[in-house]
Amino acid sequence: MTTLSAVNPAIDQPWRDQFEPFLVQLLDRKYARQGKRRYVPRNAAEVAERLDAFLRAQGETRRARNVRRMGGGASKEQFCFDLESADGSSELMVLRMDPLEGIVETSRAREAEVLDAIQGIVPAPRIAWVDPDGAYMGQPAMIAHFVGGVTKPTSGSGGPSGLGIRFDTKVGEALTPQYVGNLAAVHSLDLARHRLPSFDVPKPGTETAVWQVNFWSRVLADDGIDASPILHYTQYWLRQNLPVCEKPVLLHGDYRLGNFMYDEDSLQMTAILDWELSHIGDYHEDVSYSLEPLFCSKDAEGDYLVSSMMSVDRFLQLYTEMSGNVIDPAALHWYRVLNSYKLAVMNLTSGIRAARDGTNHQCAFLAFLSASGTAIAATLAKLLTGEIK
Amino acid sequence: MTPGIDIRIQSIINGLNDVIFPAVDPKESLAAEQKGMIIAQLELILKQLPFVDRYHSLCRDDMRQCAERMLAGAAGGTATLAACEALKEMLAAPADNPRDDYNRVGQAVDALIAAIGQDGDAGYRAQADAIMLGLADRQLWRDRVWSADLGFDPYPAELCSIEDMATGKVAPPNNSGN
Repeated sequence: MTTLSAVNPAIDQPWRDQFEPFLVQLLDRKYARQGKRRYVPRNAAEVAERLDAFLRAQGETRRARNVRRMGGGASKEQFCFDLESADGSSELMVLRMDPLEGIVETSRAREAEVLDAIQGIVPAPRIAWVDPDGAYMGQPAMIAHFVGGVTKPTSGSGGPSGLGIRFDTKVGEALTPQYVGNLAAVHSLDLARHRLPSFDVPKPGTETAVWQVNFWSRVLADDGIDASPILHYTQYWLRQNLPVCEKPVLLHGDYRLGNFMYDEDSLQMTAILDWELSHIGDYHEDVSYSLEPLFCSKDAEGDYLVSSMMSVDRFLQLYTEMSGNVIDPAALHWYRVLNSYKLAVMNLTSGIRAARDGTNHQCAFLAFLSASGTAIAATLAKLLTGEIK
Repeated sequence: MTPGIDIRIQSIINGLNDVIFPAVDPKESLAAEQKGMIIAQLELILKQLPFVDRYHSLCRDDMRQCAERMLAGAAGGTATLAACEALKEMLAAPADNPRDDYNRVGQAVDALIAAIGQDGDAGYRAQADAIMLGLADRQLWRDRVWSADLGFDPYPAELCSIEDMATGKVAPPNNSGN
């Protein structure tokens, strides 16, 4: 007789909950509520009303005025507003709020934790308040102080979610040491000194890699709609080739073009954004993420420029110099495969499911973005066949 | 005669472009940002429409052929053998349409891959490894051709037109050697 696990082996596999306990609970909650209702995008008036109640509950005497939607925000609903004092002065704030589902399931409370920890180490938004369970805002939310800057040149163009951004040589040269230096600084954060209560540290050995494979494989198993030979083969390959990590470090988890802002006059980076995928792991994971072709541009010879700034060789050399971390080519290759797997799972499973079920504020965008998952998988195939070493 | 699906979709595109989108307040950024993506997808669907059956049939046929090859010489522990039995059952009971059949057989193949990872014999593992990598590479190429018009593919020179792929005029490259 055919067992259930023979048809869907993820049903009763022990790895389903063998990763960070906080994230296991996060996914458990997602799948418990999945399929029960649709999501209707918020309008500014509704957000303003909820904000008022939230701010009062925080003991805040200032009021939210002029609430308006911000552009971008592929995975979260984003609004900005003026926090106005009785004397008429005001401060610009940013509200970042979860839709019901999206390409990734993450925690605002955890993102706020890491943003607190890295203050003074790299430029990043400062968090003012968090509504971790959405008790006031209806969905989990966090409010940050506004940071000025741009993610792409105002005179240039770029595609959705930061893809397709191009820097000219002057901008690229100015940003290069900051881009690499900030990454090295994140990786050097002293985990013993900073409080990150919702983060767990994997044991030295292969657990660092296993946790990542298990997390994304759980998402693939639970969100997948169509059969996907490439993704299931990749999961198998990853498990057969696990690298060892002796000293896990703090990772950003989504460090790339489009996820930092800079001042166009001074060419100084003003903020590293989108810390929602931050976790503790192998530095090769963050380093290899920048090598994904969709997050690169090409130079005149057709060679990739990491984050439209520097060659791959220069990026790896600078990172080693600035961090003191040695790049192991085999580990780098494994994490390139993992990152392609992770990005493809996000866009080809969770994103499509949310688009189908109407649980996101940008369903048409998520369906459109699924083509990026296929494009990412193209690189994944080249990594697996050895066409890309 | 009722209007064909292609005419209906084209009429929706016309209505969106000529009536609905001009009425969207540019300050409504959420709506404004999605206009281009909606039209791009409708235009892609129009292009895919004549080839839907052939595309799904190609995917299904490749999946079924690889599944049969995976079953030949299967060797391993209880997980591998149970997954092989499940796959045999799927192959013996084809679904009504090629897309559903691709998914049903594909999910059983996915399960077999996972089972081989647990307790497949080394020789069988190597055989299945080669078959799966070849299938994954070919299926991905077809999927890339299918969605290339949305503009994300980093290697567009490797692709052909949807028509050439779906009619078999251009075959998938054999990068894995399988």
